[in-house]
Amino acid sequence: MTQIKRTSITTIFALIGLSFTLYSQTNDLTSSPYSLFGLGVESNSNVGRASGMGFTGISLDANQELNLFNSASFASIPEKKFIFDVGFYTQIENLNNGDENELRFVTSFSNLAMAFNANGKYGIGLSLLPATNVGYSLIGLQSHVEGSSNETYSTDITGSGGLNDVRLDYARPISKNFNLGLRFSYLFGKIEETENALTSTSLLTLETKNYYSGVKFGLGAQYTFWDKNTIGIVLESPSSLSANRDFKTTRTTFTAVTVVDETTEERISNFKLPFKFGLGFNTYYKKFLFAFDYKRNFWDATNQSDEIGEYVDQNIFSFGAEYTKNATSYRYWNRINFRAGFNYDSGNLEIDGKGINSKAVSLGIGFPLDQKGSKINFSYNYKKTGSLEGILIQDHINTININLSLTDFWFEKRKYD
Amino acid sequence: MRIIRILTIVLFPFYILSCSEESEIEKFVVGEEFTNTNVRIIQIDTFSVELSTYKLDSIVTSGSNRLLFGQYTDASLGKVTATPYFELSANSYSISDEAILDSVALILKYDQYFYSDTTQVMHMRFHQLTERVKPDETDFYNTSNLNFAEVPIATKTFYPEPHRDSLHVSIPFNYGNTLFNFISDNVNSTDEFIQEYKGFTLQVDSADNGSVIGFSNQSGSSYLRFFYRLSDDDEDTEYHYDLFITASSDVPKYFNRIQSDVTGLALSTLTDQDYNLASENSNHESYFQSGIGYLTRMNFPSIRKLYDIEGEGTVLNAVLRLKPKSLSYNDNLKLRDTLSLFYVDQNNNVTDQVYNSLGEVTAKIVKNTDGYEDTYYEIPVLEYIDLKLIQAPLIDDALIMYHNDYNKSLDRIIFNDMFENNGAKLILTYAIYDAN
Repeated sequence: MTQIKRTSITTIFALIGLSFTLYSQTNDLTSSPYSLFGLGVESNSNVGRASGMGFTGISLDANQELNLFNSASFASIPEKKFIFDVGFYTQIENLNNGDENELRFVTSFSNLAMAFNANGKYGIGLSLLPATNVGYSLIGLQSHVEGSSNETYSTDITGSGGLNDVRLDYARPISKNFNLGLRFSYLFGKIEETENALTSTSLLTLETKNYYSGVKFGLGAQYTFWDKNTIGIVLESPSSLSANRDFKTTRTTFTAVTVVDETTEERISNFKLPFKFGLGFNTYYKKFLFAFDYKRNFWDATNQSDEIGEYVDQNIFSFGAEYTKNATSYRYWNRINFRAGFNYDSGNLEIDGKGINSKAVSLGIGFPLDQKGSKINFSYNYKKTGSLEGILIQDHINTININLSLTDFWFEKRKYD
Repeated sequence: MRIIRILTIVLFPFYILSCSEESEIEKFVVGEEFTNTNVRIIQIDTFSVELSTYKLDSIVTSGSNRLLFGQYTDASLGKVTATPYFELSANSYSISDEAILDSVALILKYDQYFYSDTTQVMHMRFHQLTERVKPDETDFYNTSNLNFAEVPIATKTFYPEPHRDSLHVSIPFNYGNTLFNFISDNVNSTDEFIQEYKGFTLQVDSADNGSVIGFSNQSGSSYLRFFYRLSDDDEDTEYHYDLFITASSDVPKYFNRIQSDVTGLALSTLTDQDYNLASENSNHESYFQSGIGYLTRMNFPSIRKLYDIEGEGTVLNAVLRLKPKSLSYNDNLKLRDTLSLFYVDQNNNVTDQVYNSLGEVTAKIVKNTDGYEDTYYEIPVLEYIDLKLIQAPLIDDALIMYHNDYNKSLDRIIFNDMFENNGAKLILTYAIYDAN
């Protein structure tokens, strides 16, 4: 027993190490031009179960797998249980502006989370996940050199980076059916943009690195009634991320590289994150679990605008279902989870008065790895963002998510010495 | 243990994927309309270019490896004259007592340099100097002068053929024989020889208007040759004895006097090297002439008005186009393909050659012959503009250009300024960028 336990602890730490290695290599890689705006596109990263259920989960528990949507769910981790969750995704993106189609391919880390409930009185979770992703490359944009007869220059703009979210969740049961959770989030990240303007004789490079950091707080509650129904509510404080910028302009000619301009750690205006509100409901019906979420992010009140787009209040509706024949069956196939979901996001941006909404469907499957609740989850998600109206583009995103949720029982006192 | 095995299987492909990242694709333009591109690139060619001409006080012409001879008259630059002065000597002064002189000739090897019209007849006079070929200090200049005997030793009327081998100037027998006998009877050393025969010069008829040509100064190429036989020799074998210009590293044995007559021209006001003749005062022209020492001074007096352009900006490229005056050049009045660039200070002293990381920066000729003639020098001036934008205190410095043969040729270029024929144009490629 001791031997096995030591092995699983080693495994978990090895996993954490490997995850961070991967994380540092893959964090940059979303590829939507929509990530030009603000601090990037909001990350789809989540635990495996949520990815298969249309990113629905405000009312879901964390009995078997973690739920990052509601901090109150950490109170439902069974006593002495330790859950570790790590995931990755691969994304194939098809961009279309009406005239042209482009295919982009991305692989990224999706989350790293661990949580435990030591004595049944409270659950604690620590998680790291990308909050936003920036990744765009606009390459070979041709412009005319003003004042010249026919000279042109070509511009490449690439952006990368994003915000990371390190969260500490603490939740405890207030009564038998009522759990309350608190969340502390530290957001930090770097967003880089490099613009290259290439003329026939020289190259001008503008490199901007914006560093953001800030904190926000969350509050979550879940209430279970009539045994099989739960409602959940989450509130998230608005937040103002402080920002610093490094800026460097370099001129490269055939003969020399000259730094024209360089500033470091210049204070720039804060980026405001909105107050967020979410409501969820789930119910068990026979062997099915049905879950509904509604979220609203109050971007309007942040009074921010981007150069091309406006921030508008964002509404997200999602629905998810899970089918499990018999979670406690001795037959392996009976314990498999089948999931499906749908997600509609009105988007937080309006360009030329048109919202950039997205619709997504997802399918997922969870295979048990052992008797304790460890699982490997696969999910497929198809999402369509934007439209072909005006200057907007349409983004078809196919995502395959692989996620591992490992469970062990710790803190057990040995009965016999 | 099973977990580890599963993990390895599951995570390995991701590790591979994460290393391969995105594949490179040449063009990504979807989403182009979203770009708040921060860079605007404009081309500006309205900054003023100031051209003026100045004249070097003197140019060292000894040690140039060329005897420059000739004369031509140019409407803008006056009459130019090049006349070489040199000392002749030999390695050995022993001539057999039996030697009988046949003939004497001055042989001058063409080194292929010529400028202006070689189809015009030239009149060359070979004079003996009455002064030693010995500089006051260490060098001779284009302005140096030595006295010579008024009566020439020989004269030669000829059409220059710079692509032929050499020019033969016959020396009268009497003069040659006197010299030959003097050597065989009295001379044991060069010192003894040049006591009597101090040196020689080639003079051109003051009415000539043809070309300037170059002769080699090398001992095996140009020489005064004595053809003789030996009286006790059964066969009629011909021998020769040569006097030539000794290659000397320390004391120069030859130089070219290069002068011009600019009477009545705007250039006549240039009496001192730090005086500039603005193109406005010389027919909207500025001049370059090697040998004589006219140089065109180029600067951009209003370049700091770039700062008036709103926003952050930087000059990406700067090219000065200078047009030689049309019809002022042809196959005889050739334009050099490249010229080296130099900085001069407010007193027209050269402070530096213009270099970049690839080496020398040069002005290059661009010839467009499609339809209408459009020939200009393209001069990269980015380094200079960069300097002028940050120079403090601001100095009235400038760019000039010349070539390596500057001290041994008589080329000239007439440039039009910005008010004449669009002659001078500074083309700036300027990027305006937002630091946001």
